Formats: sequence, structure tokens, C-alpha cells
Amino acid sequence: MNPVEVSQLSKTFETREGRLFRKVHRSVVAVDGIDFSVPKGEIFGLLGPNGAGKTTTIKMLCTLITPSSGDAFINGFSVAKDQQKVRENLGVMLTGERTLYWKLTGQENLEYFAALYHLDSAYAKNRILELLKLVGLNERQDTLVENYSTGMRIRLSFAKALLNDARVLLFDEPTASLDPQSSHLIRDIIRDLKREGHAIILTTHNMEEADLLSDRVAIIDQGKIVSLGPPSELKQKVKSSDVIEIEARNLAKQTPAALQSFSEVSKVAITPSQTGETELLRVHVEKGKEVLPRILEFLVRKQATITKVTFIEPTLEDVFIAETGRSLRD
Amino acid sequence: MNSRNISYPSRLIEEFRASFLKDIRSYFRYPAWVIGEFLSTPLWFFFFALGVTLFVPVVSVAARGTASTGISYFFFGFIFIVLFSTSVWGVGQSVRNEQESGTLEQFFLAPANRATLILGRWARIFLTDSLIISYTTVLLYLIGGTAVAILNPTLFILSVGLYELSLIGFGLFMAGLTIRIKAYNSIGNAIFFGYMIFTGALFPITVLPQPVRYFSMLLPFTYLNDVMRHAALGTTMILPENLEYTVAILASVAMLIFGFVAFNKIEQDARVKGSIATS
Amino acid sequence: MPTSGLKSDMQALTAIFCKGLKHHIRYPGEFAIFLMLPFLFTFLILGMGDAVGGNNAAAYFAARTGTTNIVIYEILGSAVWMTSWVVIEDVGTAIRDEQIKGTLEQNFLAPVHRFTLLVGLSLTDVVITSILFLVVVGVTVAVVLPSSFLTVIPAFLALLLGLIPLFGIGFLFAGFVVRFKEPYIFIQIVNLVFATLTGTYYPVTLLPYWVQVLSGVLPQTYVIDAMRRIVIANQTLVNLYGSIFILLALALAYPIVGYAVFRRIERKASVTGEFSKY
Repeated sequence: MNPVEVSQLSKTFETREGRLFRKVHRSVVAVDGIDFSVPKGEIFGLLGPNGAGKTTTIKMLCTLITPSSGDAFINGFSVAKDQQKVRENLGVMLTGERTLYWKLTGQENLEYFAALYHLDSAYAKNRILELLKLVGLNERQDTLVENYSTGMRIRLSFAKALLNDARVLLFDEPTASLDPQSSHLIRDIIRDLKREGHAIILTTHNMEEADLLSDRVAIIDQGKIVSLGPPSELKQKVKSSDVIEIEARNLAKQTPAALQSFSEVSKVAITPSQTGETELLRVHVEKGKEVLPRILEFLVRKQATITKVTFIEPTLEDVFIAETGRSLRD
Repeated sequence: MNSRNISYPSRLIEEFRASFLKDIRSYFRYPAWVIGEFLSTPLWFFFFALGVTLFVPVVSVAARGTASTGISYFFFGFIFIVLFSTSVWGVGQSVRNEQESGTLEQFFLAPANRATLILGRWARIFLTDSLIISYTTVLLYLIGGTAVAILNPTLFILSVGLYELSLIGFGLFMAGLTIRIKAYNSIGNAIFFGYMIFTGALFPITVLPQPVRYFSMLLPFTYLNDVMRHAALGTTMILPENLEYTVAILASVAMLIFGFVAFNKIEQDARVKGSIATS
Repeated sequence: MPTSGLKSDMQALTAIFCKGLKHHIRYPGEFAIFLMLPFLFTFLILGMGDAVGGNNAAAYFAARTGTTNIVIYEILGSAVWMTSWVVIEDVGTAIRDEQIKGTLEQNFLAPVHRFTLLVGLSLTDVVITSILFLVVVGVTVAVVLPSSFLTVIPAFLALLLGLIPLFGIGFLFAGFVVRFKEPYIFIQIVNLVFATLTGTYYPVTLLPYWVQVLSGVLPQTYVIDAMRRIVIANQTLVNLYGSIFILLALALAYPIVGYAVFRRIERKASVTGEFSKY
């Protein structure tokens, strides 16, 4: 049995919304029957836009949320029935810097969590020093966490996840808010952990990171896995099409739908550019070089101002667009 | 490689110790809070005590001992309230604080016993509350000339022990309530005032109108307060003595069990709803 | 093009007031507790008094206060205490709340006078609390002493005058928050000290002489005493011209000093970068 086995895992939230005496019952399906497994020594990426169900999936795996149906097994222990055993067999890093005690030092935080994970005190002492050195906090171990920078807090959270040296590790956006140097450090550690044989699940909406780190990626959208496989294989699926990125101003809302009327165009997605002044059209199209003049002519006729046109190598974003018709950044 | 060569009792002790240490460290690193709490708690007492003195006979300094019986009555009420606040504001509010600061999820991720972690916090609060009560007693003597005497120290200690057991249970319930209901302050205030008015903490329930008295007699804390006060001041008990001791013991054990059960149930519900860490 | 001046500050004040009002309409429970607290505290005092004084409790009370009207006597003190607490706490904690939310810097970046901001952030609470004061005191007087019902209005005017100096104390706390970040416990202590010194539940003459000197510089001392004289003893604001004059002087002194201290701390904070820390 693999360290992580997920079988038809689902979660539906029941809510009551509306004004005081006019509340309406609503069911929200956050995760809809997902299946995957993670063997030893693999980094498994969960990629998807906000609200796709990544965090709900992670929280079910680490027992913070009880599944509505289906089950998952961590080292053979059911998340629905053996919650205590699951917690003993997991190392978890949840997103955000506010998961630590700010009035304790870095070392004191780790000592506290070591006790909660039932580590022998002599072992814990050495383990803590080792981890603080690993994440580059050994010289600041006696500083209160409230005086740490955001990056330092995230690195300490990461160290905390490694305390009990669990065979299965869950990292929820481990490099969010980190500078490039710290991100690089964390990624290197994750690769080392993979080589040591840990099964690692990593959620991110940074597709470059998912592409870089993951052995396999599951693209999740609206609670379902829409694509699963090694990044290279997934990208290969869309390589049969060309991907054209057009940066422009004054694009009408109906532009993506209108472009899909071209028979050669399979998928179109639109997102704001980084500057916010222009928008990016990502067009999946057969025989891109032949169709491009017609696409540009169409856009000009619709009063769009085109600033840049690029043919690009497909990325995981394009895999997402191919499966869902939307951008990961939506 | 890791090591888990720890027996189950040792695990519980380690969890308790870690939680207590965390809380003590965090508490004393907020000097503003420490000073504030040590100043404000006795201040509340003296503030209300002054109001109460309007209702006692005007006596000379020489006869102050007689007039001070009323103040002693009120002082023990103050002690009951300070200890009670451990469950409502100490334990319950601490869970709310962890929710807001983002550390509550870590609490529930770990394979640690929830009750021991909460007990660690309770132990710190009990320690600091005991210090505050002790020095307020000294202040009362120095400023007010009132020496607080306990008629039956053994019975008093036993009854306080029973009271603390019930508070642990109630505190666990309040901790669970915080996870369930985000608007904790309003509920906490309502419970706190309800305790002060209906359970004979500050005045005997005989002061209350008859129908309300029946309600008071349904509350377990009414008997626990009454037993403690009887032990301290020799006041008349609500029920026949042996019956009241039995009721107090049963109430205390029942609240302890109720607290554990309620907390576990609320935690499981929160996992189903996915609301453990939502603030 | 935006302009600065009295008109634009009033516009900003209105906007801040409306923002606060929307919040309270969405969370009405916050003020339910304020409605109940004066009654609850009064009831506690009465209960304790009954317990310690027995059948002669009222007589002992009258011997010290000059009135047998215990409920009105205590409810007036309670209501003033609650209202004062809200004013002092709100000006200080409004800043803290904005700090925690991360919106303090945004507020301070806007071209609005700090004075407008400080007053505006607490104004909704003060207005609502004052109205609730009228409700609490009005209902109690109507039930217990209906013949004095109309005296609630001049009593309310005395309260309003007494609130102005409290804004000054609130400004002091606002500065304290910018610098030290944790105001709640100190505000609690200060409110308790004020309540103790200003005769909330007893006449200040009960206190040692040197303490009464301190009571003399606090506005609530005069407000509570004036209200008791107006409602219980049927005196008028004109009769109390001495207290009114002192309140006017305090209404001038406290805000000036409080605001000056706040501005000084704020200027230092802009050098040390305190605004973004929480």
C-alpha cells in the first residue's frame, strides 16, 4: 500500500445563508470524489485556482475536516476512523505565517510542538537544533517570533512540519510570501526529503513551482481532478496545439467567446497582465502561424490595441485552460 | 529517524507541561497584561466593596470587626468569581484567542490530548489567580482592617477542590462553545453575569424572588458556592448538610464528565463542518 | 480636485460616522449588553447590600447618601460609568482595531485631520451609547420615580457636557495605542479607577480627603453628582452653576492636552515607523 491512498474523497458543506428570518439552505460541493495515491519518494502537486478544493483536500487528509464520503489512508490509517494515528504519521505545514506563537522564541515554539508530537526530549532537543540550522534560523532561535520577518516565520513553520520526521508530508503553499532565496532553500529541502523517501503532497497555485518540483501533478478545479500525470506528459497533451499569448488593451468581454468561433481555435482564456493596464489572451489554436493574421485582424476590428504577440511553450496553465476553458488565475 | 519511546502517562504529563510552559512564557512576556490583571482584579473588588459599605451600619473604628462580616461575605464571593472566570474568560477566551491568531489549527493537527493541553492553560490561570487572591487578602487587611478568616479550613480546601473540578469541566465546555459560536464575548458575558446573580456568589439566593430562587436551585454552582461559603463563614446551608455535600459532589463530577463529552462532540462536529479554525 | 478645510472634514466625519453606523446595524448584539449592564450592576449592588445590611439596609444607605431612593441613585452612577467607559475606550481602541485590520495606515494617509479621525472613529458608539443612556435612565425613572421623569432631559445635558473632557482622555489613549499597541487592560484599569474616584455607587465624601482631591479633577464626579441632584433632589442646571462651570473648564482643558499628547506621539511614530506594526 502506498503511504497516501485517496479513494473517492468528497466533501459537501451545508450552509444557511441570507437575512435573519429568510435563511436558505445551500449545499456546496467543495471536493467531488477525488482519487489519487502517492508512493514513497514522490512529490505530488495539487494545482488549481482559488476555491478549487485544494485546501479542503489537504485539511481532510490531515483530519481537520471530516470527509462527507470516501476515505483516505495515511500509512494505512483512515482519516475518517483513525484520526489520532493519522496525525502521528503526518508532518503538516499549513499556509500563512500566523500558525506560530508570537510570544515564544523560534526554539520554544518547536519545543512546544515536539511535546505535542510526543518526541522524546533528548531526541527532540537535537532534532530542533538540526532543523533550525536546516532552515537558516539557528542564529535567531532565541528571538521571539513576533520579531521575525514573514520569511523567517514561514521557514519556522516549515521546520515545525519536519519535527516528527513523518513519512508523509503535506505542504500547503510552502513558498508563498517568500523571497526567491528562501523559496530556493525550501525547494531544495523538499527535493532532499523526496530523495530520503518521504511521500510529499504539495499544494500551490504557482504553476512554475508545481512544474519544477512535482513528479506528478493533479490539476483540480471545482472539486474534481481534471488532469493527473507528470508535468511533461500533461504539457505534451496540449503541445499538438500552438499557444499564442496576445497582450492588448480595450478587449471586450465577449472576445474569448468570439474567438472560439474560429474553427481552429480550441480554447481561449483572458487574464489581466501584471501591470494591470493590459490584458493577456491565451489562445490554443491549430496551425497558429496560419490563423494568427485573422485573429489579429479580428481584434483590431473590435477596437483592441495590441501591444505584444508571443508564441509560447505550453505550461501547466495551458493544460488547465485546455481542460476547463479558464485561466488558473481566474 | 525519530523516537516515540514514551509511555501514555508520560505523554500526558509532557503535553500538560508543554502547554503550561507555553502559557506561562506567553503570559509573562505581555508585562502590560500581567500588571493590568494584578492591578485591575483587586480594584474591582475594592470598587464594589465601597458600594456595599453603604448598606452596613455606621460603626466606630473599634467596632470595625462586626461591620467587616459583610465585607468578608462579599470577599469570598469575589474569590468565587475570580476562580469562575478561569473557565469563562481563561480557558474559553484562550481558545478564541488561538482561533484569531491562527494557532488553533496547529492545536488540532497534533496527536495530543486536547484536555491535557487545555488543562495546562487552566493550571497557569489557577496559579496567577491564586496569587492575585492572596495579595488582595493582604491588601484588604492593610487598607480595610479586615482579616479574612476561614472557619473550617479542611472543608474549605476540599470544597474548593470540588469547585475546581467542576470548573475544569465547565471550562472544557466553554472551550468547545468558542469553536462552535464565534460571538463568544456576548455569551461569555451572559454566563458570567448569570453566575453572579443566580448562583449565590455575591449574595444568598434568598435575596432573589421565590420563582427565581427555584431556578437558582437547579444550578450546580449554587451548591458549590454554598458549601464553600459555609466552610469559610459558617453560613446556613440551602439544603440539609449531608444532602448538600452529596449534591455538590455529584454536580462536580457531572460537570467534569459533561465538559469532556461536550468538547469532544463539538470538536467532531467542527471537523464535519470544517469550522475548526474559522474565526 | 479635493479640497481641505472645515467642510471637507465634516464630510469625512459624516463618512466615518456612517461606516460605523452600518457596522452596528449589522451587529446589533454589541449594544444589547450595554442596555443590560447598568441594570445588572445595580442589581448586584442591591443584592449585596440586602445581604449585608438585612432589614436596615435602606436606613444605613440613607444615613450615608441622604436619600432612600437607592435604585435611582445607583442606576445614574451605573449609566454614567458605562457611557464614560465607551467614550474613553472607543477613541483609543478604534485606533487599535484599525491597526489590527491593517487599515490604520490607509486612514492616516488620507488628507483628513487626525482630530476628525479620532472623533469620527468613536462617534457612532458615543451617539448610540448616549441614546441608550437616555433609554436606561428614562425607563428606570419612569418606573421608580415617575414624578421626576422630565428631569431626565437636564440630566442628559449634564452628561453630554461631561463627555467632552472624556474625549480628551480618549485622545491620550489613542497615542498610547500607537506607541504601546495593547490598550485594553490599561483602559480597564483607568476606567475602574475613575469609577472608584467619581462616586459611581457611593458619595465621594466616603473617600479619604486626599483621594477626594483627585476626584475633583475628574469630570464624571460632577456629572454623577449633578444628575443625582437633578433627578432625586429636583435641582436645576442653574442651581448647579458651580459644577457646570467646572465641567466647562474641564471640557476645554482635557481635549487640548489629550490631543497635544497624541500629536506628539504620532509625530514620533512617523519617525520610528510605528504605524505599520501591530
